[in-house]
Amino acid sequence: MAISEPAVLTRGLTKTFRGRPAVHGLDLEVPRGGVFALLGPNGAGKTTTIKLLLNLLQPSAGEMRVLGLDAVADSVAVRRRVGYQAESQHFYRNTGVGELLSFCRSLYPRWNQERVDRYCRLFELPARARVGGLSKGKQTLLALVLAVGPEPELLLLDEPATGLDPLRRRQVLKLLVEEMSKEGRTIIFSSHQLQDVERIADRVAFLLRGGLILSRPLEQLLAEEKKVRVLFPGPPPAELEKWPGVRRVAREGSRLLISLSGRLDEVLVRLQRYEGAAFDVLDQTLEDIFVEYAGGEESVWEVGEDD
Amino acid sequence: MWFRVEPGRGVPIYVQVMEQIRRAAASGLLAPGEQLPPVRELALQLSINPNTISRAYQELEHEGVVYTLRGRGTFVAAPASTLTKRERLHRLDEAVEKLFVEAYQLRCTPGEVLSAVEKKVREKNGPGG
Repeated sequence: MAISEPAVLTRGLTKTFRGRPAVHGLDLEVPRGGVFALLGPNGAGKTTTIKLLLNLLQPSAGEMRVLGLDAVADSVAVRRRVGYQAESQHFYRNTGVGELLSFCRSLYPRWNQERVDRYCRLFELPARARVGGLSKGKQTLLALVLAVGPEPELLLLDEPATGLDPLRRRQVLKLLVEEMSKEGRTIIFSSHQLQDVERIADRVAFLLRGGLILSRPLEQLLAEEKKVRVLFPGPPPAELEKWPGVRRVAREGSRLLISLSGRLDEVLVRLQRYEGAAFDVLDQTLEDIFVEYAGGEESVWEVGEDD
Repeated sequence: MWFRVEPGRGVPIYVQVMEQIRRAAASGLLAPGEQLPPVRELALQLSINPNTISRAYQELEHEGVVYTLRGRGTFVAAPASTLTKRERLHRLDEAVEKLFVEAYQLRCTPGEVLSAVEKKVREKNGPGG
């Protein structure tokens, strides 16, 4: 139980369903402490990864360590220290909210009832309501309350704010801000709400087709990923695509749009050597960066396929 | 204390918070010596990561806009009084550097830059200044 071990470490993690890989050779490292956002288009493998970490699914190949433990061999010990909120809820529909809460309370040696009561009031989850009678959004909120109740070292939240109105979403964010303040706690959550992610994540990882394509501190990501629009007076430099930090060069009529990953200053110095070149640096939002990495121009993204 | 936080603006949130505190301090809306909200309290109120607020406070302290008293909190500094002459000149130099980048991109001549600066100094100093 070395405290220095990361919260999550996977090596070559693979899960295939009927021969189709949902997670494919995933090397993921989540440091202890802080908020880690797992991003990716639908079908990228986020939910499968979370279920694998909890041993709710068994890996086809690869290794996983959670809180310094083997996620398969020590899965019972892992579950005791991890709070989990599933993407879709499978509660006993006829159980009362209060009944379900006391049942869960009895399962854990530690349970913060004061906090659970406060969140139930905040989310308007009455103890006497039947779980099956709650709206889908409220069932998600209940699952969230159940996940944080035992004050786990690691929170695994699969789309905690999906299907919620802006007020509830904001309340969920406040809950996460409050929960993340506990010393040494790690929160991993998946989300499509990239503006929420920008508000609370310390680190973000992009998954695409079951693999990791990027994992970086959020501030660093926003600082490094830039676009530079350039108009060269003559033909552009032949080796432009090989310049440091250049990920991609797209044509915009007579202009070029350079996608950069770091090295902005170096690229600007080089551009200044071209007499008469006009250029502008464009900031990008997390959503811009996500779209760019998840498919960009090639549009391997699912838009269109689903329609 | 409320600050406008706009994720998806392409500007890091800590920078957005810094801008607003800096402006409030410069305009006198935040008085010198006034205490800023504790990091966790402000993070909860704005629904953002506490590390983001800490970063904003640290950078503002570095700029001399606020100061921190250990165990007591973060306070608004008196304008520029906390900076040594060397620090002031260093930060002026950084601002001039930015001016030159802009001037370069606008293809201004050195003469144009100088006369623009001189004109601004005359304006700010008033007639006969």
